[in-house]
Amino acid sequence: MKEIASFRRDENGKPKNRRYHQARWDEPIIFELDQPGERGICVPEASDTIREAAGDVLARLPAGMRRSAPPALPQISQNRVLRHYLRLSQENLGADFNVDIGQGTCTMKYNPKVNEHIARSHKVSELHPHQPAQTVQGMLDVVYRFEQIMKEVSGMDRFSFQPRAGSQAIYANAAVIRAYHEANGEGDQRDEVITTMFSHPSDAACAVVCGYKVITIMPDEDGYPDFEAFKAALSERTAGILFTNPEDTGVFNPRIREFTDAAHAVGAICAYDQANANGLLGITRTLEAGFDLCHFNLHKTFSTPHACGGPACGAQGATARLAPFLPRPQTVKTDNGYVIDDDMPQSVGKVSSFMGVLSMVVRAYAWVMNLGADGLREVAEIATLNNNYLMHEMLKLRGIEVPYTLESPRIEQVRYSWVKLFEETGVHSGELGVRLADFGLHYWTSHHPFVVPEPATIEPTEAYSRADLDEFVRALAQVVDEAYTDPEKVKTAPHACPIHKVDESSFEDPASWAVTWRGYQRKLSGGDQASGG
Amino acid sequence: MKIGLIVNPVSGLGGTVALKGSDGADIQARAVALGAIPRAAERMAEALGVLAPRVGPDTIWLTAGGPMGADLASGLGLPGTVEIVHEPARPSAADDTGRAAVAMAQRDVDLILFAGGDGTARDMVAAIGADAPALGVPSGVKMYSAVFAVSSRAAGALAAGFLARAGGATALREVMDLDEAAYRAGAVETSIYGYLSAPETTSGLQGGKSASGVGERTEAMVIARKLRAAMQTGVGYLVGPGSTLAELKELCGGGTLIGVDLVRDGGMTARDLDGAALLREAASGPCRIVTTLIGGQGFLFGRGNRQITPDVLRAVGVGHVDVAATRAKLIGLQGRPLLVDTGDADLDNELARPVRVTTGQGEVMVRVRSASAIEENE
Repeated sequence: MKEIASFRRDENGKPKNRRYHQARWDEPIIFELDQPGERGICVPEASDTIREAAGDVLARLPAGMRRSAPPALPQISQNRVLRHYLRLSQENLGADFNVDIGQGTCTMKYNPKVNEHIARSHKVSELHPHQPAQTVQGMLDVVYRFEQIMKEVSGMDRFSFQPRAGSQAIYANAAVIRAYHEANGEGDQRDEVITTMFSHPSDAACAVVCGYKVITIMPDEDGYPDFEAFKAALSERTAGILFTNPEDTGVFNPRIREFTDAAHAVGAICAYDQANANGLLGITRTLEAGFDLCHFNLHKTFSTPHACGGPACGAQGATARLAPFLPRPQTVKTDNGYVIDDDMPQSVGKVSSFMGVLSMVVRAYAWVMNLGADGLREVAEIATLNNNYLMHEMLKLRGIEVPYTLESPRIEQVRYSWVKLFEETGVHSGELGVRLADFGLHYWTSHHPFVVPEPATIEPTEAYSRADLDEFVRALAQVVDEAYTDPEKVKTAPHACPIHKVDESSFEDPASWAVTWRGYQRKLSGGDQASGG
Repeated sequence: MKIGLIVNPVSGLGGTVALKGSDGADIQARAVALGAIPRAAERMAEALGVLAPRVGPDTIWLTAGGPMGADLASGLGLPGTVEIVHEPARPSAADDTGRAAVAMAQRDVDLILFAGGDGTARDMVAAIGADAPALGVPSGVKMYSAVFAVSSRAAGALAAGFLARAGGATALREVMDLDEAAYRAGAVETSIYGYLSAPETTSGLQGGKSASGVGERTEAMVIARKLRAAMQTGVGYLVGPGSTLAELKELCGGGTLIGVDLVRDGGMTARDLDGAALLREAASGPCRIVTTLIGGQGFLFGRGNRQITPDVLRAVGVGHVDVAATRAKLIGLQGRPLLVDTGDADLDNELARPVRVTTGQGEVMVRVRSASAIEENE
């Protein structure tokens, strides 16, 4: 009898490498699929009765809001729209398709679909931001309850969910620092902000946007921020410090309290970049580390989707001393229910419209309620365990190293270095990451500049199983082996993806790219003037 | 592709037998008598072990005869062809390095790999300056110059990466050397002898053309504009040597690469001042010293800028020192502190406190240590 084929994908208890090929559709841009007259939905003509009752609807709109011409949208049927976007999605490597642990520092954990279901319910999606508070008591209740959770997680006294991204929350923290010192008559005197080389680049960038001079602290030989240099950088000019901990290396600075104490001693405000707090939940808190301000990216630690750069929520927390400066409005609980309090005279104002992206708060609230307090701590424990298991397996690979001290285990992620492999093979770390795409995986190197040479940053989170991690390492092991035996194969990768090499030189020439269809048209026709602006 | 290979067969002889350098025929003879083993050929072989598998069969290896490269090239069986462009004297002399380098530069060599130490680098820079890209395979006793890779294997990898990118980026790197006779007598006297054009390192920088990538030269230009904008009228700026500060000097009307120049009210007013002239300037009115990291080890004072004597530093005031450097150079320190070695231990201790370093993007705070204190601890 003929044997029935097995589709099991493991071998000696470990997953086999995938035979994978990404789809290739020579799909035009949706505007090029335009068929004049084609419609997705044919709305029936209104009956005479309705027509008469409604009168001239357009005339009721203010003249300035009426279009003189219909919007330039493609005319296309529903099924062709669906086909178009599904094809594009197949040319992509989505978070739900792969063992997405290679985007270190981004905390690409699984986004539970039940939370999507809740957030997309009409009870959330059909709310209008201008609705009176008494008609959105349920949503305000969720906001209030989630704020209580975040206060417990961090030790802070108030939260704002208005920032729509992690960087916007960092900006909001820098703005609060500025407003606080201005209120105390020290706004002019305090014009410097200190950050570290391994903190997120947005910490330096947002401080500059807020008008501050930035001083960066380099890592010392052990990879910790250089404490002696930090103390010397502090002065009566220091407005605040914007620090990450653990830093991008995954190393937790055990002396963090000494840093915040020293900053407080000169009157500075300490803001904790906890965008990624996945190794900290229930284990350490913002307050005990000595910080006055913080932010958490709900799209990292709290499982909401990254959504290709937003919309998102950077939850901003503050101690009572700084709470009056948070963005307005705030949700306040009273004896007569919740009110939206916009009377905050010391507030930095708005960093975004309305109350931010509340559907993300709903998702995060659902996630936390599902886990409970013990579950949150377990998230941090498993994320750290996963990471240390992965590091143990990764260190078996040829040509890999972990820079800096290994005396204490890494927390939630590791920045590895392939400098040895590069020296022995000529293959760059970025090229290994691209070759992984041929196995339906990928990894990211690091922010620039590369302080760790030939870097790779991997963060497994709690969402992936041991089998998932083994699959990732096994694929990487094959790529590493190829780097030593057939480096050209790695350097010319990907081979199983529709886009092979992107010519990055065009990035530097604004004339050769466009980010919108309108911009593309404008550049095609020879500039802004030709298109009439 | 043409790759030059120069092995200084006597390089590193002195160090293994504690003779502090290998300059001079009698020192070399004494070293051999003491049982010293030449290391340069071995180091070059290690570098080529990394480089050779990554070049094409059409590679032309330009080298010098006998122990200066040809013996090694034929022994290793390099891919491509080997051409001897210079026959050295036997035993080879110091000017053989220069003659070989000149012959290679005339053949439009893509990169010269040379195995040696600071003395070899000096011979290179005296012969070809920045006319051809060159990279040192470290095998000398003392290597203050910034033209050496961190190891022989790293040199091979760096060379391979540079050659794979046609016209890869180069940066001017200091060639420095100790006065070995003075060093043997217990004094550290280092000077900058010029600048070789060396491949930009990839470890601290992203490779290739990326949208956010800023090369070292570009960053030095950004730094130059910042420093110039911050200059006050009526203050004399004593701008030290270094490729980073060369851009500032250029902006102020052109100065020297290896000298200390005076900038006043935004313009270059004097070039290549010696210690006495600097002291006169410092005594005549308010001055500031502008300095950068010198050499591969990150010296602020005491290597390559000896004109800035302890007296000059005291006259200007240790609080009136501005430090600038590219981020790549700071990252290259890998967490080590900056060093000072002015020859005045008290002054070194005064200078050994963290400094704010102006970079292309904001300021970076870096520790400073007295080099002599570190050596004593070791």
